[in-house]
Amino acid sequence: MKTYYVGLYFSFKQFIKQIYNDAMIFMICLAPILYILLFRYGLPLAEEISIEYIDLKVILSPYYLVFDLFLAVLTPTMFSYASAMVILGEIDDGITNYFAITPVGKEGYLISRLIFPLLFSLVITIIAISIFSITKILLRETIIISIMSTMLGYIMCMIVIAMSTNKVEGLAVMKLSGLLLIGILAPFFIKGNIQYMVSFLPSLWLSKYAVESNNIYLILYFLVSTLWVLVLNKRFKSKLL
Amino acid sequence: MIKVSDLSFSYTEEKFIQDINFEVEKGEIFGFLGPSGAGKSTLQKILTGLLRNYEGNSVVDGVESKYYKRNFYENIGVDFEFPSLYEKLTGRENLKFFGSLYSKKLRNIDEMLKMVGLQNDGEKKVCDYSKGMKSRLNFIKALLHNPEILFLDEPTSGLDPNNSRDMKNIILEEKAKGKTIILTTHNMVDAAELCDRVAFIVDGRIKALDSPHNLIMSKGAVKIKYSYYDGIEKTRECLLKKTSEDYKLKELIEKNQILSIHSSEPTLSDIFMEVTGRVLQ
Repeated sequence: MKTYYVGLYFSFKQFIKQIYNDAMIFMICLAPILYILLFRYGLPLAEEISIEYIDLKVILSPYYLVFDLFLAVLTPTMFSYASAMVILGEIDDGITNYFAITPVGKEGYLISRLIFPLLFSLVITIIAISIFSITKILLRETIIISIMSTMLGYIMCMIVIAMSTNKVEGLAVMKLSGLLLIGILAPFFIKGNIQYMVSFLPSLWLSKYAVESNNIYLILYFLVSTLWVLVLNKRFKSKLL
Repeated sequence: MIKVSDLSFSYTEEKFIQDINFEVEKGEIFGFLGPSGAGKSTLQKILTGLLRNYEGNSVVDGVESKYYKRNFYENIGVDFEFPSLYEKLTGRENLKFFGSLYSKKLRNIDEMLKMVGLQNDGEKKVCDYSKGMKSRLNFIKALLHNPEILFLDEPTSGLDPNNSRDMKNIILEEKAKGKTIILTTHNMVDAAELCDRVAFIVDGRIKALDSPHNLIMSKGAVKIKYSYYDGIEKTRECLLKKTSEDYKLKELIEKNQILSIHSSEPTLSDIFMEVTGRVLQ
């Protein structure tokens, strides 16, 4: 058993090494830092300057929660994209299959390529929201939103792997899968029931929960997310064998 | 060491392989021979536990393939037909990484590289390797943790004659150490040279199973080919065991008119064609 964990460690180390050696994937992982610098410190400053020149009391501050929600989903999304790109590269090179006939196994491979990075992103997200959120989000909500965001990251990783056969296709799908995040905007910009047109997007329920802190949205989020996982699972699994 | 009985598997509703039965003894080299798409690689995937939703039994080292536990793979080495290597790592780094997934004491990496003629290329990135070099590195990757059972899929594919010879010698050395080897190939020459027994697989079924020698002797027959002058040079042939019935040959021998004479055994390839109606390399 001890050996299994040693194998997992080396497998994860190899994953990190691959990210480090690939400029594009490395930049994907740095994106959350750029976002924090730009929006956390840039937005309030932009608001201040705008108010000074335009005769309005508030411009951006009603939407600060939107920026905080993007802050929450960005790390899991970017980390899951990095995972997906590494996995696609390894599928291409036949390495994913090779893992299945080693003591680490396919399960260990997925733990080192998906679970570890997502857990890591969960911790980072909790810390990032706690320190850098512009609105004041309570600790309980911070943890729940971070878990929801991490699950969203998992779904996005599944989409990229399930829908592409190589890294080039993966990049295209990655861009498209960003549409999954538009549900975050719906409660802020679409008034009335029409916003539920995007109710198939988990991000809508994440956003609704953040706005209203109503547990029903939490349940709806997990239901919709589970549906996505179930729909993608067969195709996702077939890509790994 | 390996016992397969009434094995069937299907990717779709139609059965892809069926009624497969064979046993492999410890220390034996057993070959799966057949054209592409015959089911050889699928069979190997079942034996290595990559495909688990099969019917029948596939027992390797006392364990049913669908129930392999993690530590089972400590004793299995697989050389897939297409190299599975990290292109951005050096040959040595690849071996070190894949070796780190096992708890067993690894074989010496320098010796392994030397064994396949890569002693001067260990520090080169794999993306700079030729196809043959990648094949050789992939091959030693399967041997690194000193497994008891080896699954080799087209191990000499894409290699020049010298490297192919070296690779075959290594396979025979592994057999001499008591390793059980499953060789999947469509190369009849390699199979005849390396395998103790072979199974001809066509359309997902075993059409024949025996040692290459027995297959040749039981299905084929030694022939005599001779030439003589009759206005122009002519050639005839007859079966060795029916030379007494060939009156032309008798006549030519009596008159000392034979220009050339030689016997020829059928090859495993000929036997394969006779049994399965298909042509292989």
